Amino acid sequence: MSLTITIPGAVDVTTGSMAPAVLTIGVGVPGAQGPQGPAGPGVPAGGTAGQYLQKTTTGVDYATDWVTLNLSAYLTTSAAASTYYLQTNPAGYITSAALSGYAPLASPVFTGDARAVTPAFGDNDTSIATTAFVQSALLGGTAVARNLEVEVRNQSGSTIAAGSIVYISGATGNKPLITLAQANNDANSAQTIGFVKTSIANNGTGFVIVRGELENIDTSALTEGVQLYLSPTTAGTWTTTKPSAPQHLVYVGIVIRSHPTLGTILVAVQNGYELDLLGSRPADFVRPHRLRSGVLGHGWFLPAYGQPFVFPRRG
Amino acid sequence: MSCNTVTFKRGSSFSASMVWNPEPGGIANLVGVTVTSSIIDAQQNEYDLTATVAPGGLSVAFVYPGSTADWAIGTAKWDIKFLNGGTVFYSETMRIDLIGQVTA
Repeated sequence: MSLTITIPGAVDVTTGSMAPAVLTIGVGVPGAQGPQGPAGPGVPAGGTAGQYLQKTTTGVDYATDWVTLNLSAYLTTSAAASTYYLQTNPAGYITSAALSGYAPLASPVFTGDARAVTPAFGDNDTSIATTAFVQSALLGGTAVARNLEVEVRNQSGSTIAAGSIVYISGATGNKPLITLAQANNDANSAQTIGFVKTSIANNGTGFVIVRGELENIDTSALTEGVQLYLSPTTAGTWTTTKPSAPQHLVYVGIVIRSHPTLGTILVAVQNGYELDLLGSRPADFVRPHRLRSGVLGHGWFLPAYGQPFVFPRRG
Repeated sequence: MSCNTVTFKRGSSFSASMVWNPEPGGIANLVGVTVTSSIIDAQQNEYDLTATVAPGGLSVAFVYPGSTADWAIGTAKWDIKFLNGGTVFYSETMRIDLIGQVTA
């Protein structure tokens, strides 16, 4: 680089020419130039903001071009259309096909021979009980059947609520039919079987507790230890008043916990037997509940209602 | 390159025009380059020139805005400073043989 300077009014000493004098002078070098870059076409022209350089031809040096990052090849939508899964390889990535083999956390339905860790013997929490755990519990004698229940069907025409007292009114489809029991007559009470465990819709099936504990019902109006009888006035309910003739006596259980929502009744249905229900009875004992207890003569003694019949003493 | 010495009679208005002659690999023009210049006379008095880079950056005009009548007789030195980014470089030093005027 050089400078050519023209100075009006000055005289070039060398040439002696009159103004303007013209000088040509050098300029100091700014510094060493940096190393030159590698050979090649360099960064390709064009492109838009956010794009990336991508190798375009294998084996061809500097063969690159601007591309927009596109993950569509790596993503796929689920059936819900709002959840994305990594779909394609490289290996180690989870594919949507692989995800289909996993059970959801909520309400999983396992297939095949599903397995779980066997809890320790005697474990009593929310762990999953494996068959091994059950077998060990049975062998260890710790598994106690608390209830005797029977699966029943409701064709009464309406829903039967939990805690209702029912009797067997028939059978269909290998299941007994139930109807609300009432101690107003023999037909409605003699086949009383127990308490409905949970509500059973009409034409639905459910369970009746025959023996055991009926839990989670409202017993707040009852005193713990009080005995319950089948109500002679309201079908399906109990009464704490022991019915008497002409009502029928059906003892149904005892309150073991008084609570508005967590009440418990020990179910122990016992049908009272009227004299006309007894076998091998004398033909003239047709309506014994109308009779007073006492000596009948000829060795016959009629006990109080509900008490064991005493056969006449011979000789 | 010619000799870089000129004779200048003091009292005359001092101005100069400079043409930038680029070379391959060098600075193409003076656009964005800060150009300053000063003259120091024989008595070490310094006179700053006003430098104006022309559009295109290929020429610069230098003017001393004051009077040169007081410049010391003798040899004065003159160069030009260039500031390109963080890089500073200078021209060669030119010599001005200042002589006195006859006519007042």
